[in-house]
Formats: sequence, structure tokens, C-alpha cells
Amino acid sequence: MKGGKAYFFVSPWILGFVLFTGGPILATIALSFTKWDLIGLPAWIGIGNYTRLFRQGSEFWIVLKFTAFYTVFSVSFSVGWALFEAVLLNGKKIRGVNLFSFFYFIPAVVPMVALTFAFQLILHKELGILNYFLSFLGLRETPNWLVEPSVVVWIVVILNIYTFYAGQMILIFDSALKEVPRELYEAAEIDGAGRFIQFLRITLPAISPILLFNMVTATISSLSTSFTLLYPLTAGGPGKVTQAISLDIYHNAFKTFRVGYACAESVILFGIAALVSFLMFVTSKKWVYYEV
Amino acid sequence: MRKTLFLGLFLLVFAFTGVFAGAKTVIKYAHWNALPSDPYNYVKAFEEKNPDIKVEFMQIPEAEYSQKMRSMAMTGTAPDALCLWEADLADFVRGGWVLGLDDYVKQSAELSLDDFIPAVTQLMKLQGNLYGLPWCFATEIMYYNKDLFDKAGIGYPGMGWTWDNFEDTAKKLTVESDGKVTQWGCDAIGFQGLWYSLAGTFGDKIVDEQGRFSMGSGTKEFLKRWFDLTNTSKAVASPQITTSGVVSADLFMAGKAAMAFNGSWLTSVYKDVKDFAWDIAPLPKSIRNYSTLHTGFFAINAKSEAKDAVWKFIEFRMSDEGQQLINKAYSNPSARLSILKKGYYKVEGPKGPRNWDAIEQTAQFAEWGYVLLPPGLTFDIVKDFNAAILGQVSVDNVVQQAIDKAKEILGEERVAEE
Repeated sequence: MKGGKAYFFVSPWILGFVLFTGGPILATIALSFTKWDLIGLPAWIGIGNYTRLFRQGSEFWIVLKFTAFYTVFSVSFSVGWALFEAVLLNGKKIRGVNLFSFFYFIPAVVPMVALTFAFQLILHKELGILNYFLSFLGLRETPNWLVEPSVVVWIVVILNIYTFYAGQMILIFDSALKEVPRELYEAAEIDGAGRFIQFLRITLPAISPILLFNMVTATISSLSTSFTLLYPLTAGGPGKVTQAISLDIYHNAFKTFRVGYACAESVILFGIAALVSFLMFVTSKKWVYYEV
Repeated sequence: MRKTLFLGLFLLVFAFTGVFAGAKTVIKYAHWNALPSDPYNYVKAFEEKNPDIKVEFMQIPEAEYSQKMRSMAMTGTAPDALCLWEADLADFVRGGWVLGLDDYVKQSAELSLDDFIPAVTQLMKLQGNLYGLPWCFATEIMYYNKDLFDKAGIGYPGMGWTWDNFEDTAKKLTVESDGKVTQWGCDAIGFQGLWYSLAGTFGDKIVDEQGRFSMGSGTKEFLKRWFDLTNTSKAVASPQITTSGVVSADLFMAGKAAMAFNGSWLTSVYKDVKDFAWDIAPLPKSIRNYSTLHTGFFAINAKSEAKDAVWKFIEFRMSDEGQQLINKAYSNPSARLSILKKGYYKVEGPKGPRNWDAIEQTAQFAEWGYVLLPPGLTFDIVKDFNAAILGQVSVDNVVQQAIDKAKEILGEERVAEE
């Protein structure tokens, strides 16, 4: 009876999970073996979508390559940036630290679409303010920032500092840094350790569980929600240069109506996210300290 | 007890008859645009004329309109009165989700198929029956800065303009200062449809009579010439990133480009320009005159339980009164020739446009073209065209790439080989 009551109370969550998470995941896996254009019934084609994705010359290779590049660098850059800012905010004797916190966090709450359109204007080759300033410095041939493949891939990485999860990470790092016992720093100072050594030997190990948490969430965010940054900023172009897998899934499912193909991509994305998270947790045993 | 039961039954019958006496037929209607405010609210005007019909309107954002309509149709929850884009109409016909309108039009005292722009009957031939009526139309045209033309002493473009005229003029109107271009002959292509319309002027069918994707030598020739204009003579500005086919900065509007190609709907944006005089012209001709038409089709949900009421609603929106409201509200012309001539859509600004003939002339030769294809395919190809103009991929390769993509997405049977 007791167990029955417990099941009754958790049933809304179980129902929600089955209907809105578990069910769609299973449906996505099943649809990945079909051809379906949202008209009529899906037609079973076995592993056809997967062979098409991984065949030689498939554009999916370009998509995967960019996704890997974007994930590695955007995670490194945004986690590094968030940690750097949080460390600055925790520095001694900084006046107006709350004001700095406000300004560091404010880009994270600006809607992404508005932000990307602003950057489209800032980075416009002919009318953009960035090239306007560069021309003052004597640069004759100013870059076409958002269409040069070698440049645009770095721009989308750097702009990650404006995403919501980067702002969120600053707050999490900030609170973690405040929890590091002060006496450890005092003892290190007495022993003659400089700031950098203190950061390396005390701060990093002490906040390593938080670092792991931020890295895992940033990786998953980068893999799955890169869409909100890339779609309005570059739409995946030029060509497929900035087409991340999340963008490609949307494009194939809702713009070319190849739902089965998009589901196969989703299954692959799910596999990549699971594998990367698993590897992070496995390797974390060597560098994450849960007790200081 | 019997008395109570009798009284209850009486009240029930009375309530029902009361409800039915004042009952209205309710139809649901979806559109990507919000309803225009008074005095152009065509739904309100219809309800006033038809007090027995109530229209429940829902706005679905443009970016997700297509997939939302499909999902709703699939689950049997689509609105009664539909407005479908060209590519969607074909799929809805295939899914059996829309009703043929041939009989309705034949019986209509208001409408006649002879009164529509030629592209409507062309689409009807392609689909076998009439499934939708165009709510208005837009097309792709050329915009030009009259002040810059006057300053250079160059005659304005018009119906007879060729690609050679365009290229010569674009070069003459390009101004360099200190080795840097300060005024472009023509802006980069902003709206994705123009790639297809301009390629079409070089002879490619884009979509042939059987509804197949058809691009090849004409597209190559166009891309080569556009590449030269962009990179060699620098008369055309470098491509900018486009999201959903629209660039966020406009050199023509900024007065820095003498010409631009874009959709006719931009007349309603440019009309607010106060700094320079401007006008419109048909696209220049290479091998033939060509442009792309855009519309949405009023259609009836095959599962609707109020089909006749929906037809009444369509008939009203296609009538002179309904078209006048729609044309004025959205600055788009009517696809009905008799109403097109009345020019309800002409909303002029202080500096332009004046040459409205450009739109009516274009309507005579414009085709549905690329809009009959899935938007994902056409947008993807445009990103590759941009890469070709930037020199990241060769023109020959990009056209072959486009054909391969079309085969993969549409199937080999829907791609015409040259």
C-alpha cells in the first residue's frame, strides 16, 4: 500500500517522462529507419539513412567536422572565459565588484536573436562599425567577417561568451570560488607560493567538481543548442562551413522534410553527447577532487 | 417526480433550440501574417457581411508555418480555411488534405479562371485540378536610385533592358575613392529567390512543365557573370550572410548602391526613403524575360465540416472588396487581372516608386519556379552559390552540386537533365 501511494505521487513525473522524453526518444530511433516527409505514413528503409549519412562525399562529414571543432573550441573558450571572469570578480580589493558582475552577466540575458542581428551589422563588410574602425587604422582590404570560412568559424566560437550558458557558468564559478577556504591561500602565501601557483594548486582542485559540471553542461549545450546562435547569425553558411549538427537536423526535418534522415542525425547526436559525457566522467577520476 | 422530469426535458429542449436559433458556423483560419488593423481587416469585413459565420483566426509565425500546418493536417487539427505556400500546396494535394475548387469556381458569379494571371492556370495544369486561389502576389524586380542615374547622365532601366545594359551601367555607376569602392553599381543579392530568377533569365527553366528541378548551363553563365561583376570589376558588392534569405544591412537603402534586385514587397519598405528618388523596373533580360512569383493559396481543408462557409470566405477574400482590403493592407497586387488594373496595391512614398507597370509587366512572364520546391533545398543551394561568388568553390562544381542535392532530396525522377 505504501509503495502504491509512492507510485501514485511520482506518476505525474513518470507520465511526463514517458510522453515527452522517453516516448519521443524511442519514436526518433524508430523513425530514423524510415523515409518520411510529414505527408502520409513513414516508409521503412532499414539503415538507408545511416548509409546515406556516412557514404563517401556526404556533406554530413563536413557537418560532423565543424560540430567537433565548434564543440571543442566553444567549450574551452566559454568555460575558460567564465572562469577567468569569475576569478577576476573574486579578486581582492576590487571596488564596484557588483557593477562588474552586472556588466559581465548582462550579455547572457540579451535575447540571442537580437544579439546575432546586432553582430551581423557590426561585422558587415561595407556598413559594419568594426571595418569602419579598421579602415581608420589604415587597413585597405577589410575582412568579410561572416563569409570568409577561416574567419567565421572562429567568430562563432568567440561569440559563445554571449550565450546564456556562459553567463550561467560565471555565476556558478563565482559561488564555487567563494567556497574555497581562505586559510589554504594564507598557508600557501606563507610558504611563498605566488598567485599562479595558488590558482593551479589550490583553486583548480578545489573547484574541480564545478569545473567538471560546467564542462559537461557546456558540451551538451554546445552540441544541442548551438542552433540558437548559428541559425540567426550564419544560417550554417557560407556553404556548410558553420552547419553544426543541431542546425542540420532542423534543416533536414523542417526545411527539406526529410524527417527520417534528420532522426538518424539526432540518434548520432545523442550517441556523441552520451559518449563525450561518459568519457568526461571516466577521465574525471584523475583530476576531480570531491574533498579538499 | 414526473413533473420535475418533464420540466427538465422542456428546459433542455428550450436551451438547445435557443442555442441553435442563434448558432453561428465557426471556421478556423490560419495565416503567417497578423490580421491588418481597421479599416483593412478583411476577416471583420467578411463577418459583418456574413453574420452567420464566425472566423477564428490564428497566426502562425512564418518561420514555422510550413511544418506547423503539416503537423496539424496530419493530426486532423488543421484549420478549415487554409492559406498555403506554393510548395506546401502540392504536398497537401498529394496528402489528400485539400479540396478541389474547380466546381466552386465554375458556380461562382464572382470568379472566373480567365481573370487570373497566367501562372495560376499553369499551376492548375501541373496539379491536374484547381486546389487554391492566390491571396495576392509578389514578384522579383529591380530597384534603382534615380538620383545616381541622373548624376551619371545614364537613362533609366525599363522593360527592354538586357544583361549587357545592366553590366555596362553597373560598371559606370561604381565609384572608387582611394582604391576603395564607395558606391556600388549594384548591391549583393539579398533575397534568395533572386539567384533563381536571374539564372532563369539566362534560359534555365528552374522548374519545368513537369514540375522537375531544372538548372544547368543558364545558371553557370549567370554565376560566371555575377562572379566577374563582384570580383573583377567590383561593380557588385560582396555577398553577405543571409538568414532565412534576408540580409540585415541594405546598401541600396543606405544610398550606397545604384541598383538592387529584390522582392516587390520591398516597395512598402523603401517608400519611406526620403534621401533619394528611386524607382522599379523588370529584371534585365538575357535569353528571356523571367522572374519568380510568390503567393499563398487560399484552400479548403478536405476534412472541414463547414466547406461551404469556407468557400464563402474564400469568395469574399477574392472579391473586389476583399482584394482591395488585402492589397492595400500588404501593398501586394491582386492575381486577378481585372483587380490588378485598379492598382489598389500602389502605395507610393515621396521619392518612389512611380513605374508600377514594372510589376504588371513582370506578372505576365513570371513563373512559380523555385517556390514549388522545398525551401530547404533552395536555401541550401543559395548558400553554395554565395560560396561560389566568394571563390570558395568553382561555378561548374556548384551547379553540379546543386543538381546532386536536388536528386538526393527530391529523387532522381524530379530532376531534369540537360
